[in-house]
Amino acid sequence: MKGNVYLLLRQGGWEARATIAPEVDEAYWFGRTAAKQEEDCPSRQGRREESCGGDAVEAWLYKEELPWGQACLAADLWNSQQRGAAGRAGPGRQHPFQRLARLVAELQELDGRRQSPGIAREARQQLACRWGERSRGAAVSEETAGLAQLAAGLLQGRALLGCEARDLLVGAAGPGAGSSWSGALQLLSLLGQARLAGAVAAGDGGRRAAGELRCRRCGSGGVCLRRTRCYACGRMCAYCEACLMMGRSRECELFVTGVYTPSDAVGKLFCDQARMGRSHNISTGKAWGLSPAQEAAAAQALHFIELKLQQRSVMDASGVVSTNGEQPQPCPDRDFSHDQQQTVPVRHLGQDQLLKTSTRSSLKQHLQPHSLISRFTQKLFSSLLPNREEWAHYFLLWAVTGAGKTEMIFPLVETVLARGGRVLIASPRRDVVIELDPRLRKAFPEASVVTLYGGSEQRWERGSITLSTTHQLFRFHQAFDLVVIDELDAFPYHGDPMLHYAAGKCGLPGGPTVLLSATPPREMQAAAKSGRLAHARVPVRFHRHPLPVPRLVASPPVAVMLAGRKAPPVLLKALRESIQRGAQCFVFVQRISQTEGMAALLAKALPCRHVAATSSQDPERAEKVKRFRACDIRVLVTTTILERGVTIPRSDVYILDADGRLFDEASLVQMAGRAGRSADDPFGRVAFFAKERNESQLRAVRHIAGMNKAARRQGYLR
Amino acid sequence: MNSGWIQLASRLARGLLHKSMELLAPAPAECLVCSKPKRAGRNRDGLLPYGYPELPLLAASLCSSCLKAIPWMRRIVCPVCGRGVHCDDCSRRSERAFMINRSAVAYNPAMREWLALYKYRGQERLAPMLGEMLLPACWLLMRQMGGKGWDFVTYVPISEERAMERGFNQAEEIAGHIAGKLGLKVVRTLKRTRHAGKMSFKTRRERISEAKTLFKMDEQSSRYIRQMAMERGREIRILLVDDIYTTGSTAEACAYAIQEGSGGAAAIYVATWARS
Ligand SMILES: [Zn+2]
Ligand SMILES: [Zn+2]
Ligand SMILES: [Zn+2]
Ligand SMILES: [Zn+2]
Repeated sequence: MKGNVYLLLRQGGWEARATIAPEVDEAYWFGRTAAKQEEDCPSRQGRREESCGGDAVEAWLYKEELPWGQACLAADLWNSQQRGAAGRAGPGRQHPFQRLARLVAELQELDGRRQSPGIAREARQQLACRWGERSRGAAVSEETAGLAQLAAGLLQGRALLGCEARDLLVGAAGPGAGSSWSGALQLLSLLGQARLAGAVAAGDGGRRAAGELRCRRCGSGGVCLRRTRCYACGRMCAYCEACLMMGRSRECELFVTGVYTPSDAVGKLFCDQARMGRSHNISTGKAWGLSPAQEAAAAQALHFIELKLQQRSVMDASGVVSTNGEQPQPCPDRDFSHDQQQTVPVRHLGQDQLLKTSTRSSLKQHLQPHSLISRFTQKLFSSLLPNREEWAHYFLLWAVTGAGKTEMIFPLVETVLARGGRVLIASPRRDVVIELDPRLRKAFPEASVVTLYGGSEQRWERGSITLSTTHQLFRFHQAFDLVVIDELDAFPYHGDPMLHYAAGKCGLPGGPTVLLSATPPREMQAAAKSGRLAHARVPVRFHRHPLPVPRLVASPPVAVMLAGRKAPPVLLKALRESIQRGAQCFVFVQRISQTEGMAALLAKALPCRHVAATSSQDPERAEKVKRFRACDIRVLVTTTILERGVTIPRSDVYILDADGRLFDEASLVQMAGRAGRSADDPFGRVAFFAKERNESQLRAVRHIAGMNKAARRQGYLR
Repeated sequence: MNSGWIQLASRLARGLLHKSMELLAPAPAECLVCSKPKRAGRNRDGLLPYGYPELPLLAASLCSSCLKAIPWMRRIVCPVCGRGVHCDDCSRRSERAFMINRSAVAYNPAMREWLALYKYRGQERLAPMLGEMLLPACWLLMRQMGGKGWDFVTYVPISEERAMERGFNQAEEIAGHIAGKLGLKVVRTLKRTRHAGKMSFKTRRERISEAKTLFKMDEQSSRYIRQMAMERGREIRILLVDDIYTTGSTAEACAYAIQEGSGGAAAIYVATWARS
């Protein structure tokens, strides 16, 4: 993708802007249709301001097309320089355009494209094109304007690569859109309905280091980026390897984020609602058939959400959202101030310092190609978990395994939907998403539910409820009034900063995010306990019986059992008892390679023949789980792959090598949570078999016993 | 089968590689193709057809199961295109603009996936490894040539439109890596005049005649080759690189364009990554 840069004089100051369709900019600022376009765009109606288009005095287009990333960078750098110069005496004697030409030449020189920067006056005359009086005839075509209107709807809350946006528009408007899509996007960006940036570009403020390149879609930087020679832009161009599977994000690729403007009702009605107080919450709880513990936690979460939405609407009204400490800039998007961060042309924090002198060397540093050191030899960039202040928008719903989390989020979803808001429910696991779909459709028959996972057909649809795997969240940007993230501690979400980044940017700024977990990561538990993170605990299962507390049994390691071809009598005795009482047995081992051997060993020693093994590498896993559920298999030897999600009514859990490195507190608690799930058999048996008692086992036991104690204290137990 | 030539060639390649190895990053802990963790220090002899000191990058980039999955073209039946079974395309075609083709691997579903990962997904990290995989095919070619090497390497170009879309030309990148290993330079000789239309609707004859005008050599390259031929007093041997050899019509069209442009002063040998 290529783009242009131009300088615009309005409201007494110059600003640089990057564009993918300069003819649209010319028409917008100087053409006769400027006023008309303004009326076409529904969201601008009633907020008309004279500044829209009409106040432009003069503009200079740099005629040479630049790689899109470079065009954006040039505009950003020019604006930073301009701001830096404004404080000093006069912006210099040079014509602003000459400074732009020099900046572009410097950038090109750093890419090795030119031997000497062509700052000469002749060069300026060759490359400059003036807009002004003579541009009165310029116009945006009907077709482009129509497509822009369509695109405004389609792109709401989306974060797409240029090629994806083009495919989306062509798919919706027909092949005719193939030529006018870029004009339409440019018009949207002028109207503040979309932001156009480079897909891989220098980080934008916040906690990011200045000048460091990052993929805007997945947040990766450093060793995840790779520079290669690129035909599309003719330079050494960086692309992101981390999110390659979703299409290639690179420096010269366009990154489009569509603005989602929440309905005013979302915040305003909440003020009335909040006055109604608890009575409303409780009736909501009853309507969903919640247990007292579920209801209490849901009420707390509901209160939190109401508060956050209300705060956000107040902030919107006063127009002082400023998440990265930026001063509001005079810009054409001023009336979209609820989203200042998004619609202000990117200005990186720290670039001011970087460019104070604008020496060649600092620029060079800024653009140095990343070394080709393998990303595997360096650790991933530091965790993007929220810091202290950012916890403010999170609510942790800490519910034990089998507590009925899904029911608890129904009232939260309902309350947002009732106000015309949009809800996202995300889970790292695809099977959870697929399973939630019918339950939500049943609970909210009126709502439009869109379910997204790899290979789902609703990829471009937009509903009031979006169900998604965390991997699909990359394609959203500030798109939801409420975000609910399920099993945030589960693989692959846990420990993947990319997915944290995606989840962090899909909600509206300042909007509430509810996290669901039975085993929150340690740092989150600490934040909750110290009161920094709002939370509610649900210490009891929906059937109101205590959680089975694991028994600690001394036993030899699995490796020894396999080598000696002998299972210890304690294990066999326990399994026999379980089979006799009619329970299904989960036997967890550490390694995939141990599953088959262990199953063979047990099959030989146990009276029943129905012993099987499965793992993540077993193609028949789904089939075996089905047979286990149907009691066709009585003992299933498996790895942590089944630690979550599979719920068998009458089941006992035996964890071998419980002192192993791969079983931490969270996974021990999750595995133990497979037992006693149904009201018919609430007292399943759980045992940890290990040579040693280690910290993880003791913590897991303490965790479970602590939950039972809390449940008893609060009177939730039957 | 292991004549002196392979040994000589591989010694040559090893020498060159040791120099370039210094520039390489330490071996990644994960397999480049399947991302599974690699076991370091495992004895992986016998996984590569030529022993892996000759293909160090490949051995360092892949896990054992991916290495094992490579369907090397070991059996050659058709002397022209290097195919493992008898082929009609070559026996029917009486005159050819290129000498012979040798391919590195058979284009099976696994290789299709690897190439797609590189070519369509854009995982350019694979390029050096894919380039190295072409090395055995080049040794075979050299042996067929009686030990003579090439004067330079060139590649099959892609259309402007594709280049813009994809950002790189896979054949050019592979050519660059193989040239580095052979100690030769890469020369851009050809331009693609247009997109190939829907080939399946045309007859064989139409396809062949149409393909002949698909590529064009520029004036500069033409002069370059003629001059080189004059200086060296012999025909110029060129290695033409592409990713896949299917019917051979692309290789034929490129070779034809080079022959036309250079006035027959060139002998063109084709090395392709995969043979379908
Ligand atoms: Zn590029
Ligand atoms: Zn990325
Ligand atoms: Zn592999
Ligand atoms: Zn043949």
